Amino acid sequence: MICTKHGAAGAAAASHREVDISSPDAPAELSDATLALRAGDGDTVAFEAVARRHGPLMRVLASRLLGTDAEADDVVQEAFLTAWRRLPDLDEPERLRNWLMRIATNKAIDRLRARHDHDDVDEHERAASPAGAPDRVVEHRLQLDAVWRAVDLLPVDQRRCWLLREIAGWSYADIGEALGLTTSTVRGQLARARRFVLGEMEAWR
Amino acid sequence: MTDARDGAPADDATRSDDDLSRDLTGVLRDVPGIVDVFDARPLVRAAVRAIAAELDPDREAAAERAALVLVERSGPRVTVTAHVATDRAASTPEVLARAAAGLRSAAAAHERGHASDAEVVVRVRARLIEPAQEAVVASA
Amino acid sequence: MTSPDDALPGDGPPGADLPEGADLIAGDDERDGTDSVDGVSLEELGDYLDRGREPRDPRIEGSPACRLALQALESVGDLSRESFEREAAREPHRDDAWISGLLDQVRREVVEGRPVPVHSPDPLTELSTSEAAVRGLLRRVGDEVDGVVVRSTELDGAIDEPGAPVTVRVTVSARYGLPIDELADQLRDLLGAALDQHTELRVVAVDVHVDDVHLGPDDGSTP
Repeated sequence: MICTKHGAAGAAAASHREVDISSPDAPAELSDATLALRAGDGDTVAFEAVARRHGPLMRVLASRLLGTDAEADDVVQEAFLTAWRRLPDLDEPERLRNWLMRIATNKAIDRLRARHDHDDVDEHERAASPAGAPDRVVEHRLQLDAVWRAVDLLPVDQRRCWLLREIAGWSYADIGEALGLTTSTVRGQLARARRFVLGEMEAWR
Repeated sequence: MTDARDGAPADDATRSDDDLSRDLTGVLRDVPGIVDVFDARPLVRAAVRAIAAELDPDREAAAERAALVLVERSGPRVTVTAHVATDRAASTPEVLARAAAGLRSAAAAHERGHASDAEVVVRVRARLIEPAQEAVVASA
Repeated sequence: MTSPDDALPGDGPPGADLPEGADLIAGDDERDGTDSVDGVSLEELGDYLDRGREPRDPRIEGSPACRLALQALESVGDLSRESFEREAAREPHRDDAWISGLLDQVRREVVEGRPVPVHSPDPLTELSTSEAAVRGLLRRVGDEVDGVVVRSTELDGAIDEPGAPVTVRVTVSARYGLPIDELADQLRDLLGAALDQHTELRVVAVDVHVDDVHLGPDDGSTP
């Protein structure tokens, strides 16, 4: 009978607060790593907690990449189904979020490819505006509003390069491959996008 | 038995097996330690049933009512398969044995009632073990 | 197998003002990305930042204007990630229809695993449970122990062959401060009893591995 003693328990990274695991709210308190392991073990309750926790950000990114909310919903559904099937093979459960975002982004890119999108084709498909900003003048929130609007105003290719780089953290090579651009074009698009966004924020002030 | 030209015999037999499935599902629900009954029938047939329900809702709705035990015939043998959830507080092997006995008894009675001496094979699998209270909430 | 890509939405520093150094880039009328800072093009600066500032470029690092510009670029990246997180936080109450549809599908795809036979004296009666059911039981029993959250379970051995020796492995997270040995002993007993109650597996060992620690309710830290 083996028992592994966890020597320096205090030094180990604490993963979540004490929870009453039998309560229906419990999964919301657990760390990503624990949820990922349990869901990979076959626990659908843990998987539901994963979907609720990370679905919204995946959806926001997909919607900005694709330009429509409806397709974003489909992408997120497909991404979670894929995640369910592949969770048992996830080597680093603590990187659950990155992993999910990558799956969702790949699915969104697949859809873009299927559409054969070009720069001005879906300009009319402007993604939904963000929920109204609070009226209180809080500098930081207005900054967030400004950057959000600025990204929304970018030409399509620039926006996608921006999203894949800044939000999804992809390399230039991966971005280029996904969007059918050379890495030097990606570099140029990013420079333009950065220039524009900073300019918008300056103009807002 | 009816005329082979109109295909009715197949319908009669199917309805009879649907009845058997419903009976057996009812038997399961009365077994102490069985906290839920799952659909043991194949997915393909489920899709066909769904389409049939679209076409003729009344008949299919009635036929659909809780017939979750799979009934399969092959030659002189009928195999009934049940998928269940057993009570965390009970002994799963005992519950399964009890369920199987109930199913065998009901299936044998059904066969006798249809002038059949088919050999009955009973299969019961516990696919979930959970407390009884949770099962009630889940199915509410 | 699967390894996610590099870092994602991190916690950016809240900016009080326009990112410092932004005016160096945004200051003039040229908005086509071709402007430069101290002779270094914006493209080059972006590329350098995206490479994690490695290998160190003395031309860029030696220029205060360039370093300020890099700071601005980094800040605006942090702000955009934060704006997305904020938008995501506003999202969830749209509707729950998407999740129930997803969960229905997921429940249908639960991998049953191997059958775990249960003996019957009647050759025409086949009784069994499933690997999935047994692992779910292990999770449930482990969770019932105060201070324990089960992370993963494993049934090692030919569980589909009656009488074959089986080793059960469970990894758990334990509440900080609890005596690990006693916890593991308690778990082993409870898991063994549950397996005895619900299966006819010949369990030769129950391995309990505590590979994670979590904080108790008295500690105010966020998870």
